[in-house]
Amino acid sequence: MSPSSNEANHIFHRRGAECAENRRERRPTSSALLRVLCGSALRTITLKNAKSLHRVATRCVILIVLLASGWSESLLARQDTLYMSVLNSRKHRLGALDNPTVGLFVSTDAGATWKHRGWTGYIRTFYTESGPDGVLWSACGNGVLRSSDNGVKWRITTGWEVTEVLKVKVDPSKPSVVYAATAYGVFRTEDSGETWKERNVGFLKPFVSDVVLDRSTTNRLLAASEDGVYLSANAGKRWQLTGLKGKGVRTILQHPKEKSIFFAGTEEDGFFSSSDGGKSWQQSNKGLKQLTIYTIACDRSDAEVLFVGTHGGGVYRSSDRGKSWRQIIEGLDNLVVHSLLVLPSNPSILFAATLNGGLFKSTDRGEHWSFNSQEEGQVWGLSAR
Amino acid sequence: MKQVTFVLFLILAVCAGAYAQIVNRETYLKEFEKRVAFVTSVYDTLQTPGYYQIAVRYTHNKEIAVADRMFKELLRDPRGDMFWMIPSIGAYLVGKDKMSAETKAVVRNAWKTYAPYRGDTENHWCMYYSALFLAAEQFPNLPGSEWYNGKSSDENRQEAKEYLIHWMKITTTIGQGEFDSPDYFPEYAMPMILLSHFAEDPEMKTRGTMMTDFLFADFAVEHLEGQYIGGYSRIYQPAVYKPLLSPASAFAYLYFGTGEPTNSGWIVLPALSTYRLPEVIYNIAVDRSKTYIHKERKRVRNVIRFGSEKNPPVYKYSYVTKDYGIGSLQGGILQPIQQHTWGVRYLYGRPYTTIFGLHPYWSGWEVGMFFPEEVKTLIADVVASKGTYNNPDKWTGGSPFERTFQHKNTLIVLYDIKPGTTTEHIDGFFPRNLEERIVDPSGWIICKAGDTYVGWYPLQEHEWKEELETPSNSLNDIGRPQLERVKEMGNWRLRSYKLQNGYVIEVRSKDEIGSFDRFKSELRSHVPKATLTPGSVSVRYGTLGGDKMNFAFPEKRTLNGKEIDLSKTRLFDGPFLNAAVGSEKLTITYKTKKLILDFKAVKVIE
Repeated sequence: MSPSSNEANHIFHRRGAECAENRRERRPTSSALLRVLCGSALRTITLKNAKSLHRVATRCVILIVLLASGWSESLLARQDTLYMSVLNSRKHRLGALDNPTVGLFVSTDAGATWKHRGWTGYIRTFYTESGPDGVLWSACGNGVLRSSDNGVKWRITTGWEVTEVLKVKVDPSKPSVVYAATAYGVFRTEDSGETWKERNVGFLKPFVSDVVLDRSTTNRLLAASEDGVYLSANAGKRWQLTGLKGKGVRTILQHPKEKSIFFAGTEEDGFFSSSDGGKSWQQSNKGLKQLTIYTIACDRSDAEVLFVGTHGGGVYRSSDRGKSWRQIIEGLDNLVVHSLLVLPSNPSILFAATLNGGLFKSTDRGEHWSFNSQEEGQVWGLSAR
Repeated sequence: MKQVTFVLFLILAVCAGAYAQIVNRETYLKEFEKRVAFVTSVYDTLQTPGYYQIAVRYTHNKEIAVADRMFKELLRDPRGDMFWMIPSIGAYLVGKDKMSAETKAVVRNAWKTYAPYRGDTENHWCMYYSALFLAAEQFPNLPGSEWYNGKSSDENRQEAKEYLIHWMKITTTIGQGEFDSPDYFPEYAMPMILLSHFAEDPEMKTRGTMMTDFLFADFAVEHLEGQYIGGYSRIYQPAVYKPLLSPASAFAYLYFGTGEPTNSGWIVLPALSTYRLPEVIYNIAVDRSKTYIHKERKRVRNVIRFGSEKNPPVYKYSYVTKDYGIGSLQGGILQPIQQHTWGVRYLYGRPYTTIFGLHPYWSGWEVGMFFPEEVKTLIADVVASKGTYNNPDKWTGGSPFERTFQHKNTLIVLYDIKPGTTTEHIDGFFPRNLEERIVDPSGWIICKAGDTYVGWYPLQEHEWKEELETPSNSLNDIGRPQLERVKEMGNWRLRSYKLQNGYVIEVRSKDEIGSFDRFKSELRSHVPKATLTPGSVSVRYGTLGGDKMNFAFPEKRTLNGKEIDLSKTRLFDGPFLNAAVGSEKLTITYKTKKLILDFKAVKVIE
């Protein structure tokens, strides 16, 4: 793995200061403003203070005006930063001079605009995620990349051994711990990428496309492998097959509220759920016409609602935690959906990342879609902070 | 007595003819310099900006200002990733003492601002890390903020060195991954030659030289007048049926003095380097006075899914004469997309100097073995850059339903194709310019290509298709039109639609068997016996050489009653090259001369 060096340490120590600087620069969002308005109102009503009630009324009027004026969508969404990883583009031609820019794009206005960050060329950027400390991690063909300044400068944190990285997952409780799911298995860093260790003991076939950190138990992980779901109880030191043997598992998601529930999407075998922390799995494909599932997303505001992105069938929605599915593809011109994102601050807004059709957006929980960005782009991964 | 004398005279004459092309070291070096002058000659006058034009101008001390201008212009918008890294650092290294300070600064800045893709396969990594190593040596003691990847000069140099040593180790223990590629030979030779010439680290300089020797030795035993012989990991159309079009042939011209003169850009930087081919390798490359069998073990490119082994073995068998070579891999999917499992190549009839066959297979499963993107979209992704991949008429590619069994100059190829697979036919390539292509009542297809005779016995019914080169198939694999050619001749495609299938190939030269009539007569009395039912495909055959070959698909090979165990194949096994699997040591022998490349000790023993 990449050895530490003075320079690496310099970057590492500098990162904290840069993050703090970034946070200072961030303008207050409108949703923060809403919280101020509503929060103050509630507090003042409790106090039953007449003078305050007048102030509350005034604030409510302002709020109603804001909502009515159609700003609500963007205002509510503005607290989210969205990360779109564009792997490649169908417009790309070997050696062409006008190849489209690919890689990481960032939006802070719910996808109204996107700004490119970092490397512009094709380095196989599969997925990007921001840690709770604001540090960006990109899963790329070139390894795991890290940026501490919102994507302006990057460092490849891995050495030559780590390649074709399909996903990175930052430990939300300890942002210096990051897992990389790669075509060659799982790698882990506990020092913000200064060193990486291979964590593949137990895998029979180490092609891993996704890793999930179980929020209920520290160091408990689930991995989506080409040969089933693997479980580790010790931060990846050892893995054990826990279910779906022989099935190509493409993605795993933990339920946002009930931590014992997990969902898995597979190649050709459809959707599975587990209610015992991934120990046993039940298939649930009612309504699904296409059984290759690349991505699963949930609506944090409604524990019953799930979405899946499929190969060839676009997006499906479930209102009963995956027991049954309904296709929602109106306006979705490309039906190979590789990543889905429900906007955390406004679950009415969904993004569907397609392979070779670019990014689509819905403002009505997936009922209608419209093209958003990256014409003919292979948008591989989406994430939000 | 007179007859014996006459035969001896003939033998001596043949030997003398064969040796005539071998020159002594002094002459070789003089002729090498002439070839260097020729291959670089056009590059110092070309006005189009290019790294080779720049490098030659610096080396020839000609139009330095033009070279500087070109360099700065190209570096305004670098592109090409590792294909940029190698020529750009090469041009820098040959010209750094002549270029202006401003140009130097522009070069340095490019390594700070342009972020190249590292690639996903051995040739990419080899170029990427060789160039990065050399650049890190040239720009030492810089912090990560001065490099595109955020790593310091020391970190980059160290990482590059680690990878390169790792690659050398696996290549000299279990074999090269992208082995024997007529098209990808330069992607290995160029970086190694640059290391050999320019590395400041003595270990890496020695390793660069040794690895270049290793690559050239491997090529030297398996070429015929600049054509790579046998099975390959990767080859593009049209070089697969026009062998001298491949870049490896340009290296053969420069270093072996064989093949056709060329101004190929691939050999410009090597031509400017101080690397010189060891005499023993040169001798092996040009001496075809004795027929020989050469066996090798290589390895499959990294299998990332749908497999239980990361680098399964590849077994290669080659039979080489002065007139032709026939070689084969054992079959199956050994490389994605561009595999060439077997072929006969001969001297007669340029440019179409080959006969070969294949099952033109493709699948998401195949490419999914080697690439991490989604299996269902991978074919379209591959076709975007390798345009013929899903073409049922393609001439490159391996198949899981194909296996071979070769003994000397006899080859059996069997197919047991699963119904419903992407293509349900097999094809054979027969060049139009064969002197004879006789469909004999015995079942043999008997061909004459100068002094080389090829017999092909199809085990199933088949049809012939004449194919003129049309604009659509005159595109090469990456979709670019080929250079316009006048009066391009068509070729013959043998196609058979039977799923349980196969053929037997016999090749002989005039020296080996005498007249073409005799060859025909011999073939007529040697007819294979086959069983061709699903799940049970086998053939029994007594060769023209008197050996009995039994072959049952997929892996049961028996020669004269003895089972063949391919797993015992050594890394190199032949009269010229020898190495045990795992040894990291290659012994190169030519008559009394010996060169040992000991990669464990990083030492060359002469």
